[in-house]
Amino acid sequence: MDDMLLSIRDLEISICNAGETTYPVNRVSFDIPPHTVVGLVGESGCGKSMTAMSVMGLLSPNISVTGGSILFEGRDMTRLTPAQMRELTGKSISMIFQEPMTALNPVVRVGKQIEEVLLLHTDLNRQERRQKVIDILKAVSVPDAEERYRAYPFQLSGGLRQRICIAMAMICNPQLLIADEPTTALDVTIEAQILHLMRELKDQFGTSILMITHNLGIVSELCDDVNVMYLGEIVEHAATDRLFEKPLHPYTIGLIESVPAVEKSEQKLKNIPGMVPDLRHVPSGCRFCDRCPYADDRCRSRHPDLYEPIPGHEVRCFRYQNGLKEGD
Amino acid sequence: MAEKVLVDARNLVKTFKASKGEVQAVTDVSLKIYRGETLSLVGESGCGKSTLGRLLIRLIELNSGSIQFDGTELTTLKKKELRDFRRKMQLIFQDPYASLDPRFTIEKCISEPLRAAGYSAQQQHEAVLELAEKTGINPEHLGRYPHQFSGGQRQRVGIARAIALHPELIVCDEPVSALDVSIQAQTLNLLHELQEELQLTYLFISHDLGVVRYISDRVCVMFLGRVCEIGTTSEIYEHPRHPYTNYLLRATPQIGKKAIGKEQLLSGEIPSPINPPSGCRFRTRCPYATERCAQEVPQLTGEESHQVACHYPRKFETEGDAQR
Repeated sequence: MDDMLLSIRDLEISICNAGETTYPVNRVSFDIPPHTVVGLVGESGCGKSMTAMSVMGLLSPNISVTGGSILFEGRDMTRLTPAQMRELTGKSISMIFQEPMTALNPVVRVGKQIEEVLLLHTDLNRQERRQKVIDILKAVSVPDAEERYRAYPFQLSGGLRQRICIAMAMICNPQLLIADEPTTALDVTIEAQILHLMRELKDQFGTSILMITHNLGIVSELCDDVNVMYLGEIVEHAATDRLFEKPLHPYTIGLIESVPAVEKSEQKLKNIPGMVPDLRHVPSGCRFCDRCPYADDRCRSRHPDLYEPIPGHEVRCFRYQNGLKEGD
Repeated sequence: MAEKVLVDARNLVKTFKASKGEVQAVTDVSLKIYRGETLSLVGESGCGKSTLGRLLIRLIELNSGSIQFDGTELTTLKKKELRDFRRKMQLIFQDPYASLDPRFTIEKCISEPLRAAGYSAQQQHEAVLELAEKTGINPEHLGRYPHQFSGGQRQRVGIARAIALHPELIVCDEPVSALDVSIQAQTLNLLHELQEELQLTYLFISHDLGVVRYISDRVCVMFLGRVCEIGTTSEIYEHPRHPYTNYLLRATPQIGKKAIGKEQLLSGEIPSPINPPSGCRFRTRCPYATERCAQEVPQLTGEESHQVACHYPRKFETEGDAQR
């Protein structure tokens, strides 16, 4: 665990709303090794974005980390002072968001916005800062970098705006980039460019990436390692190839089967019956039991741990409590 | 595929005024929709697919062109005649929350078209119960409000409304894009079942190529207001001939597929529809473009089962071929 860049242990996040407390993230643990792309997948409300926001210290006032630790290079980020957090975020850890327009200041030229990061984290003078911004714009393939430096966000397309955000996130050469659905708002041809860019950044700068997405295709293409979340918990964790080859958790299997493939035609699409329960009415046993085809009394009454039927492949399901089944 | 043509659209043109000129949203598009089929329109944002969908049911007025709906010319119908005609054509929107009145109960939302068509209160109630059953809405929830429903449930309400007056054509504009995958699959299956049960014809607008492959009989690929390629689903997916179609199929991230390499990446951005490139509109991003592509607009050619608008259509090796 010492060689991990980021190590999240038993993270618990709670929301206080009108006197009622709910737990959108419940004892989540996962690691991000250096130079690795780790995926966090799940459907809306599973807690994946909340987990990322807690790493950055960006939770709203009524939402707080009430348990566990977030270790970045061994330091517990949940115990840092705001000043220490500022030192870390933007420099060692940075983040890009789904909607680049809302992440940028509409009335400040994009070059200046990127420069702010340097102003906070480096001692470079004006000339050097400007040069560095133009260099990073070129590195993230923004055409006519000198000219774009002076542009306002509204003058740029969605793809270019996301490149600006990536430039801003990458300019201090962070060790960890958190990407929250970075291509969801983009078109297919632009998405392909951005995903390619992220792969290049990882190879060139050795940045680790935490990729938060609902798109299993992106996970399959980009990630080395995947964590699947359901209703605030990690239900399965494995190396990407392994997960898609041999998914174990009924939820993961259902999720994969629900995606209509581009490469083959299907007669009838499988789906997961029912829907994600409300956080206020979480099932007492396994959280997936109401939608699971294999659920029995034990699943409804007891909460499964994460079992590791084969090394490196963890799954939160009683079916794998005693290792793999025949045929698995 | 039923052979009878339900919608026959010819040379549709639609432009919108913009501060710096005109947006050429739909340029000279002709297509047919057969009764009982699902025709999908795919393309990136701004390619005109939603505009075309709305033109075809005359929700917006076109600049020129003709639309025959079941033998009736739609473009010359008077307001009153069009209103009667409307019940044959319905629309399902992407965001079911924005398309439902937040102060209406679910029952009132679904019965709105029935009310407009002059059903009595009793008839409305009976019809709503039947529609709820058809679309998988719990009848006990009919007194609730849209905000109490999840995205998937709201989309069921949108579907129930659309089928309330027994339409022939439903334009589905990105109906599952806002939904999670597990709910998306449920909704797609529901649309499929309803199509068979009620013999519906769908014009399905989407940017998701997986969804399109699953739901469509035929596919029409658009780029910047023009049709690039149109044909049966298997032809388009297994033997794409337009470089743009081929690229879309390859660039979409998919489970178990390697990402496309840098050399295959399309450079640049989608050109502006205000000042589209001359000739073939895809030429500025096309790796095969020549002088001719800048001069001449390529026309759709080929058999009805597969037409392509490209001066140099090619045979692309699809993933399936490569594996074989």
